[in-house]
Amino acid sequence: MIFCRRTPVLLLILALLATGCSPTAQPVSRTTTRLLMGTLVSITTWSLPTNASAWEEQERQGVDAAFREVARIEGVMSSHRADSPLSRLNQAPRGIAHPLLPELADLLRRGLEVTNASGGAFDMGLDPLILLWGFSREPPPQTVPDPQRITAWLEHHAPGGLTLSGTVEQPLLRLANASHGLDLGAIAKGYALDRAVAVLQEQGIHNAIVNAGGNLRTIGAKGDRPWRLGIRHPRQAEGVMAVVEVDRPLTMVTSGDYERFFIHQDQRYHHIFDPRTGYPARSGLISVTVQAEDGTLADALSTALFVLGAEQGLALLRRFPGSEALLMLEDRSLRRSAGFIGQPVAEP
Amino acid sequence: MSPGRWRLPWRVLVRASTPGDRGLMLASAVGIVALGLLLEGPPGSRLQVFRDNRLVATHALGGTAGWSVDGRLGPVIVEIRQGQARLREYRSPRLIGTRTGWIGRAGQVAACVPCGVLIRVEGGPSPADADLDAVSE
Amino acid sequence: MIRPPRSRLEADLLAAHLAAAGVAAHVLEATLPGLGPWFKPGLANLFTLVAFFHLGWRTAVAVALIRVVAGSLTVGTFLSPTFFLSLSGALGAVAAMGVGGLLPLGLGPVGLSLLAALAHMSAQVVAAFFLILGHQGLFLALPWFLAGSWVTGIVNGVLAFLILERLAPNQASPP
Repeated sequence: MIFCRRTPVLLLILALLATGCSPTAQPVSRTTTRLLMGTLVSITTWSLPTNASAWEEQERQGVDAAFREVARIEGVMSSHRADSPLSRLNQAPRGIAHPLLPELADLLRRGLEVTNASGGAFDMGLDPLILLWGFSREPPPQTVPDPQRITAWLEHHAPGGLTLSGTVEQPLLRLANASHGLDLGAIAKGYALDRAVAVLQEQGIHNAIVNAGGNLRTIGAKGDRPWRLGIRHPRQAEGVMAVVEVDRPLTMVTSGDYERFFIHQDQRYHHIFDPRTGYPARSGLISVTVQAEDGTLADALSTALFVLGAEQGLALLRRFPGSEALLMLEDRSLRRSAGFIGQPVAEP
Repeated sequence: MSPGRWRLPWRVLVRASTPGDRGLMLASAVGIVALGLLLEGPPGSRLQVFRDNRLVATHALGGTAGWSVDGRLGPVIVEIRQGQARLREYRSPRLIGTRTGWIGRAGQVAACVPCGVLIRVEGGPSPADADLDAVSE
Repeated sequence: MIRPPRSRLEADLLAAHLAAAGVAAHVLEATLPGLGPWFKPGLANLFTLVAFFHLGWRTAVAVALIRVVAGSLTVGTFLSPTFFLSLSGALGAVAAMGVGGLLPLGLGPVGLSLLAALAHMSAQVVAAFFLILGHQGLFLALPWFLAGSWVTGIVNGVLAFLILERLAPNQASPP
């Protein structure tokens, strides 16, 4: 009789204890987010560790190291910080070759490949134009700058204004005139993704997503399931226009007219400039997503494609084998390159 | 009010209650505690507050709370209510952190980038669209 | 079984006494300041409980209803929101007593009082949600209110037991 009075309580206690037991290895996924490079940078890792606490320590250190690398790159390449190596180059006199860090020179060299292949649609020397439009200021601009100033800038801004010379160990950079100033906003995040992922792998983390302001680079997967990535719909703040499942290393960079813009007299002015006009690019596209293994390349190509438009953009891709793209046009239709991975999501 | 002599309350209790009563007392006590934990938000549901990427505060997501964090552009208010949190900033140009609204699911983030303030939900229920690991935008 | 009252008159008298005592307790608690609307000793339920054990469930319902109506008339809160809260609480309590008595758990006055107190509080919170504050924050405080009811329920149960002992000295143990 005592037994059946107390049994319910015993069962309750047993049930509570049982929830704490887990003999098999459990998958562990963790996301860390920091404010870096003027945006949110997140690193998501996944693992099936045999020793959960040892993994937790290793993961934390690896993610820390990756974030430190991103912060270091920001310190070198930010045009917003007056004391960064990049800013000092911008402050140096024009028309003369100046020494620069090999890391910077390498990045510029890779960017110049895209510049040349795209006929100047991708340009790393737009700092004066960006300052003119005011997109890097807070608060963001609301009006169009004086058209005469834009024309004046355009007159001086001929292609080939960035010239690298010297050796690999001691490179030199020459900026032609004051209309040229380094701004790596269209390539630095891709480069940061590459470096962050390299650090993660050095630290023994092999399944991760690094997300720098909406530019993603993945390594590994989630055990036997791929990473599931979405691509933001350019006109739906919480909406996704395509889903991409990936289990091999991949970078996805999206450039859109919805990230930084203002509307003035019914016209949308966004932050992706066409170097050939001095105005925001009007190529018929509202969003471009480029896939490539290399983040630096994907980042540069996404800007180039946005400026070039669908036809010339897809043609440009063919000159960089392994790169693919999904484009959304102003009429909301989608175009994609043959090898683009992912499924468009039906319009709700 | 109570008739008879006062004995030690414990002995009176034991005499007055049946085994069934005592079982009910225990079960209901456990139930009330469980209800309390449940209403506090799922176990381990916490809000982390970062200022310039350094963790400056952690707070349980249950109950109601509000306090001010010193952001780079001025004070940023963090509010907690009914298992959710939000930012209210008053001196930020685009108010993106405020416009994010209430967050309450694991991993959700609201940030005022120019203020240098970020809040994040740790633990708790996973988001409804947890089938996406990241979004490219 | 507790010795049934010897006659209908005796039963009615006892019921009346219990109801009156309940009203007195209701009025007293209504005038006690500082405890707040929620943390009352719930003495009124004590008499309903005694009625339940000694006179049966139907009489207990009657005692509870008389207590709430007469009590609120006396205090001046008849048909006010407070009245409806008290009503829900009392009805919840008496329903719990009925159900608890039917369950084969071997509950005595302490257990039934505990059940009644928890039901009383829960019913009041639900009524308050619908009648007064449609605010979910009310439910956040529920565990605290229930903890208070847990204590008062047990205390009242012990008191009821002692009273019942007095009323039927040779049969003080619960059915």
